[in-house]
Amino acid sequence: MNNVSAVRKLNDRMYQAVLEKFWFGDRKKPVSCGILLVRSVHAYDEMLAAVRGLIETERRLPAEVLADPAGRQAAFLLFDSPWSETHYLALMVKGLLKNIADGEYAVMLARVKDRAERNPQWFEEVVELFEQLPATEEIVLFHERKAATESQSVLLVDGDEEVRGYLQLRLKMKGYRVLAARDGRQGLDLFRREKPDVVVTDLNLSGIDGYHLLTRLRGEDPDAGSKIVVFTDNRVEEAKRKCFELGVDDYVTKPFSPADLEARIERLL
Amino acid sequence: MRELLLGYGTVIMYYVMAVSLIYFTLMFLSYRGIYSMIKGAVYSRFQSLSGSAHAPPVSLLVPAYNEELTIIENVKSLLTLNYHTYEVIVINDGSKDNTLQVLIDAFELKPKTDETVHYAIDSTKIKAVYYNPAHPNLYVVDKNNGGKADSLNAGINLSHYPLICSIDADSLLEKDALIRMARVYMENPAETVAIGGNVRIANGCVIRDGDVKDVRLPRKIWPMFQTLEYLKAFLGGRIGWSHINGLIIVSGAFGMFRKDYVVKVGGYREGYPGEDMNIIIKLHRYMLKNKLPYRVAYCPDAVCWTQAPDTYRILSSQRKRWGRGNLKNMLENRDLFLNPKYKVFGLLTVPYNVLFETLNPYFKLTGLLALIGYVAMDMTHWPILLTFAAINFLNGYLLAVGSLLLEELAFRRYPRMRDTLKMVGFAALMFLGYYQLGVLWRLQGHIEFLRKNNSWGVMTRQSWNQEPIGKPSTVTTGGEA
Repeated sequence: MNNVSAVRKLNDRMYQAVLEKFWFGDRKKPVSCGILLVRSVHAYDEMLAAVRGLIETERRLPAEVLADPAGRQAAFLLFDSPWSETHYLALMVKGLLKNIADGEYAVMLARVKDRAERNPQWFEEVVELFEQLPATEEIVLFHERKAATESQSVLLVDGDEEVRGYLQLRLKMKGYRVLAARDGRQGLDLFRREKPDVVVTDLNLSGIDGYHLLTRLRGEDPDAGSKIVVFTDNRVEEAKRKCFELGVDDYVTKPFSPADLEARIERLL
Repeated sequence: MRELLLGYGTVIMYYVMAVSLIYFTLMFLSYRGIYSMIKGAVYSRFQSLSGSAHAPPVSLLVPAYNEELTIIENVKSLLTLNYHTYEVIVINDGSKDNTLQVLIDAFELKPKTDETVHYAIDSTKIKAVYYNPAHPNLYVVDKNNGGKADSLNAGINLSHYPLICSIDADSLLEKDALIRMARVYMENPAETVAIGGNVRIANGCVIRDGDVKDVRLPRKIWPMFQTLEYLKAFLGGRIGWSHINGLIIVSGAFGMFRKDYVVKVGGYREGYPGEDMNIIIKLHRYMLKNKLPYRVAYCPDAVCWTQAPDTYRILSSQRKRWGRGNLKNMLENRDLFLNPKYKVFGLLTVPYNVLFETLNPYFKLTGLLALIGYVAMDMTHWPILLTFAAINFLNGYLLAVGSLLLEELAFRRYPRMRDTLKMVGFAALMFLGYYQLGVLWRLQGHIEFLRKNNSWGVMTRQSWNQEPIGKPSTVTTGGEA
């Protein structure tokens, strides 16, 4: 739909505008800015004028528009607009577009984060996401994927396919990168290759026995960079003692509470 | 002469009728046992039991003599069982090959100096105990050669847990085998003294990483017959016997015991095959003598896969050994025969074993001679002979098919329809030669016994990988299935 240069242009221009605001404004205060991205395949110019009019009457300020006619999209920068107002405007714009744009439109709402002036990538991310957005009647809110959790990975070693699949899904939704292994050997291979932040492993595995896997993991990773959570049927005190002796960070028994397991993983990170 | 033959014929007819009656009763009991077992399995969750502290810890005893080809694979497989607390004790019985060294290398074992062995039972002195903290569940014991029973006794002396489980070094346990057995044990922990497992034949199955991945029938004829034989013995026979607490044997390849009682009866008997039957007889005797309530249970869903001999030479040697062991045990325990003090065991199990197992070859042989006599003296007609043969065949075939049906109802280990049909077919073929050979082997075993030959005979080992590698070696494992 859009060529790459147009994309770069829009986000670059957004970044430029924020940068200017930062340099010309009070530099101690972070820039506060709501961003309203609008796309309309049909009646682009009409839409642009209508939205501009709407924003100007509502805010009683000249609107700052960055138009991208090639992409049939535009970004409205709402500086110093409180979040409630930005949101209200977005709803109004949506109502407007419903009448003009004949179905094929999209509205996305974002709020520049702190120190955006140092982070052009953020704008790129916003525009990229907007580009990929299909036509929708709903307003899409831009949530930044947490950069911190994105690199955090969890290695799941469990022989039970159902448990594995379920946890994989849940942890993925939490934003972790999940690696799953069926047995001890596969788990060890993945551990060597990926160096995950957390290993969640059963004691009852095929291929390698659980205790031995734990010693191997610790041997591969002597400064304990990866946290290990044992996740097992085994509720015997002796087994727990043995595991903690082998340098395990946490011990969760099955049947388990997924919330509990997730909280424990989170705490270790 | 004619009167003699006639009298003999009458006796033999009652004999055959009695044995058939017993077989069918056992089969009936097996079906009843299976029925309650299936129901029980639905309601009990052995999976969560596998982590419960209520299931007692188990010591697995693995005697090994010249097992360098397979031992590593087997130990690795044994270390990954689904059970919360257990140890694997491999007892190197003075192997002439590199069994010990292979183990030390593979698991990076070091001599363990702080281990004190309490010699609760007589056994050859343990030379050294090897251990590696990175494999906390594995102990390897080195001792001078003393036979399988002696190795088991040494293992018991070292073992740390209240239950012991003997396993052949050439057998693979299913991951859930121990926990299933423990479930049976927990049904009545106070009274259960021994539990037998189900031994199945692994020839032909696809095995990867010490795990049976795909169950198939053996391609060779000898293991094929044995597969059917084992099915019949374990499912059609032992479930039934265990139902009336008359089990006389727990397979040496896979059985679980209460250690305290094994120690009380003096451990395994040394120096002669048939030690797996012997220990059970001793347990029965001890418990009945001291009027203690007890049971010897059988757990058909705890499965151990073993390699069956696949040549005539090795199979016959194994069966002769069983024949010798059986005869020896029966002679040693003749005071139990029809002794009312020993209840079901003395009144039923032992007489059954003497009459229908130990003496079976003589009845068969004299029967054959009598048959020749009848024909020679013109006392019979072909139609009558054929009718008898047909009844005999149908009788046996019904039992064989009955055990197959049991397998299909309860376990369904052989998923292919073709395999099931093949088994039904081979069950009929067994009447043409295989059963007769069994009689011959047992007879030969008795002859060996009288000649005071008490060696173990030949037994070759193959690697668990598909292709047999390496040279055959003699070994001291096995036991009556």
